[in-house]
Amino acid sequence: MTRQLLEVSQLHRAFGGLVAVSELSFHVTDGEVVSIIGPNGAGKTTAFNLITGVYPPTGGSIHFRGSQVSGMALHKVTDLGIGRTFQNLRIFPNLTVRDNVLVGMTRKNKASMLTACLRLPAFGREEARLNAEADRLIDLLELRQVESQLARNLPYGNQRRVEIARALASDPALLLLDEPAAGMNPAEIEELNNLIRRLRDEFGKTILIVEHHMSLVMEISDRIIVMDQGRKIAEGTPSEVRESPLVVRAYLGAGMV
Amino acid sequence: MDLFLQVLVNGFAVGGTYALGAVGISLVFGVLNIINFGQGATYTVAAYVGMLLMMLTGANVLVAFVGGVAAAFIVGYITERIAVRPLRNQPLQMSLITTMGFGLIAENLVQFIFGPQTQPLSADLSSSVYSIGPVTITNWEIVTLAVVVLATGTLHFVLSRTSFGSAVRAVAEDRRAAVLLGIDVNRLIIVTFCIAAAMGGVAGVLGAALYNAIYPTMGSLSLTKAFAASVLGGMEQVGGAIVGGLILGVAESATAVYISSAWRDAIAFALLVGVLVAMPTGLLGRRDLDKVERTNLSVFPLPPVPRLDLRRMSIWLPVLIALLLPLVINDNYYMRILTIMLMSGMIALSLNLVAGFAGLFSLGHAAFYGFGAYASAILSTQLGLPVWLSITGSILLTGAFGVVFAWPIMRLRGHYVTMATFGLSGLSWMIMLNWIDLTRGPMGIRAIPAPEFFGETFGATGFYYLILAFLLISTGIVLALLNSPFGRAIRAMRDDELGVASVGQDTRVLKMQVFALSAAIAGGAGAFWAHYVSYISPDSFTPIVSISFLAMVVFGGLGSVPGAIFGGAALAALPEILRFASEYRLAIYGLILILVVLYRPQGLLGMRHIAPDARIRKGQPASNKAREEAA
Repeated sequence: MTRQLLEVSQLHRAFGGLVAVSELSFHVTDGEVVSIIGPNGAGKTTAFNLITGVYPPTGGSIHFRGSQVSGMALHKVTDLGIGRTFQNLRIFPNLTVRDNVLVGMTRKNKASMLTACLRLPAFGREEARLNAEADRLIDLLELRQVESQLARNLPYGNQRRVEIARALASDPALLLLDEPAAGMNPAEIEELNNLIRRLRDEFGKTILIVEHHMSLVMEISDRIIVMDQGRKIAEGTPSEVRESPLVVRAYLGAGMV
Repeated sequence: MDLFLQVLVNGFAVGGTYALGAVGISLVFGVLNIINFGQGATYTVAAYVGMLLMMLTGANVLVAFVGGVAAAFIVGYITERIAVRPLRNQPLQMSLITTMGFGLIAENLVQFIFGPQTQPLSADLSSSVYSIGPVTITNWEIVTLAVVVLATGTLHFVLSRTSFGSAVRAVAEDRRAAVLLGIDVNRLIIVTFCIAAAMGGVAGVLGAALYNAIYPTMGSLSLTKAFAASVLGGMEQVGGAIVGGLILGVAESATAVYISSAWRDAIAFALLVGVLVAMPTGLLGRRDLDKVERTNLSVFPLPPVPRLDLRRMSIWLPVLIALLLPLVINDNYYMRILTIMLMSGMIALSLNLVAGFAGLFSLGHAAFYGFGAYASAILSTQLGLPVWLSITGSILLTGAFGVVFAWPIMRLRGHYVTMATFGLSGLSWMIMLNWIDLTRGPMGIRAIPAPEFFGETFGATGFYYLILAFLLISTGIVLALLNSPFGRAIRAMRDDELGVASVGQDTRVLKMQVFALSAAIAGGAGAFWAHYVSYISPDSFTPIVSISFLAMVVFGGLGSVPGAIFGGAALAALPEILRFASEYRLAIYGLILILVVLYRPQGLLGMRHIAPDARIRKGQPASNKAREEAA
């Protein structure tokens, strides 16, 4: 059996008396696109926040590439190779698009503060290298035309793309996208669909998505995990999930079945 | 044991007045999520109006009390209308500056009218002492305790049992929802503000009666105590503020008895820092610090960071003028002003790095400035190191001190950073005052040697060129770093800390780095100052000085490098320009701060920002963040 890229087992998180995530176990294999779906308040974003260390779990374990990451701080988790975007956008509104992407590469910078102060040649080379890499991401996300604008001045769909570019800038093996299609129009969603495929096929990224937009989820997912009230209630290929009575009940209520 | 009981009784009486002040701070913080730095004015005004009334009506204490509290109520009303309400759509820190300005004006006016000296509340204020078992208690302590119980009891009743009280709690919980429910939020806020001010007024009159002494700066001191008590109790918790006030009172009275009365006033600062480090939510605070998030400065776009392009004229022109000035000016007095202007520019530059770029609204820079000055003075006088070595050593030491300083605030955000740094600044000042073996305490350090250059001792022109060199080097370093990955990361941190962490950057490390750099620059300015004036004392490094540094940055423009230098230079020159009006100097200072924030919040050289509300009305795209802040 191959070792999973991400292995979540018996994950638990309570906020005071409210149990947000309970007995959640799943895995993500290298090269997969996996979606987590479920009604509002099902614990999907909480699961993301637990995986990336925004807050620690109250129980269970998370392994990434075989090493334990649960309870680790967000920046350390990112360092290990998990990148993410946020449900309610956490781009840097007062930085240009290019600077947003460059901040994503902060950890890759090898020039010290001293070389930066003295403007030594090493600093110039390093900046050129980072900028070249930023160029590739800016082209990939089709942000070329707006690269020197402040992120705050972009339309919502573009801001989402900036955040994805920033997450990619840290070279994650696993990319977590929290509702990437929220606020996007159908054309933009189509582009997102293509982008996710390209990320998997051309760039070898493994992708875990929380998303409400069902047609997108059904099209791009290799597997779907369905959550309700903090628990996993179903898992399978898109067609399996579509047929599952439990899923229908969670979404439409018991009376409809 | 008897002594302890006595400590407890005295502590409760004094602590009761702190509790009232803290309740005022907490009420306003709860409803508006701002820190009212102007509350000190309510104490002072109430006490002086009380004194005046007693003089006029012949020691009718009750009239004096009611009159004083009414005056405080009016102060609260004016503060809200002038310094708070116009700023509803500004970052929350802006009202910190305006309320501070308002406090300065009030304090200055009182000082102008009544003089700076300490005077009795009333010459014939009767006081008697009662013995209850082993404990003695004065009639004013009894009155204080009674009034505190009565006032807080009434407030508790109003907040928990009346419809006004539930409206207050609704607004504190969610202002937008309260508006939708038809609550007249503006009216409610101003009433709350006035009640808070009245609480401050009660504390002011009681405090004055307790010691039978009033002085114009009594408000600033009491304000510090109110902050500490409020933070200890959990900031927005009225009940917590009362508990916090009583604890602070007892702690102070115990310190005075068991340790030394010199350290008494350090307790408030120490508590402020200690509580924020160990348990930022305070004793009775709620677990989450969500409200703090709304103090984000990201509604202010930063002006573009000037590129470090040495071929550009715009960089060299001011340098050239600065280099040539001494050839034109032969007057030592003007050279002195210019030197002080450059030094202030350097300090403002350093603070701007932290406050403007990294978004950490620090009120602690007097500590760095003072640390640099003391370090270099001690190294050169007590250890006899050569001056140049002392200055270099002092810069490095202050940088290290910056890391130590940043450690307690690494987890904090928004107002809590401001409060913690204010506490640290106060604590540093207390140490300068009281660690007499090292700093010679209030006497200060004399005969600090001037540096030499090839055997020549520095004169007025020499010092001018020295500080110019310091300023140019630090500006160069700041510009170089702002145009580097480090600079991008700290600007990003100002917008969104979680976002920075999500790309693998530890924000705690960033904060330490930016504080170290900033402290080193401010420390350099301090070291310069020590050798320039050859005499330093703790007076130059009080928390009020920290406030004036922040004022310089806001005046010039948060996040603008030329703005900060200009702001520092301009506000440093102001006292000299206003020499003809030296008695109202602080008031004019306060007025300028209010006017700048009201009419040009981005500072004189900062970039115009669009209020988030206006953006949404105009149908422009606004990020989620901006929308949240519009609330």
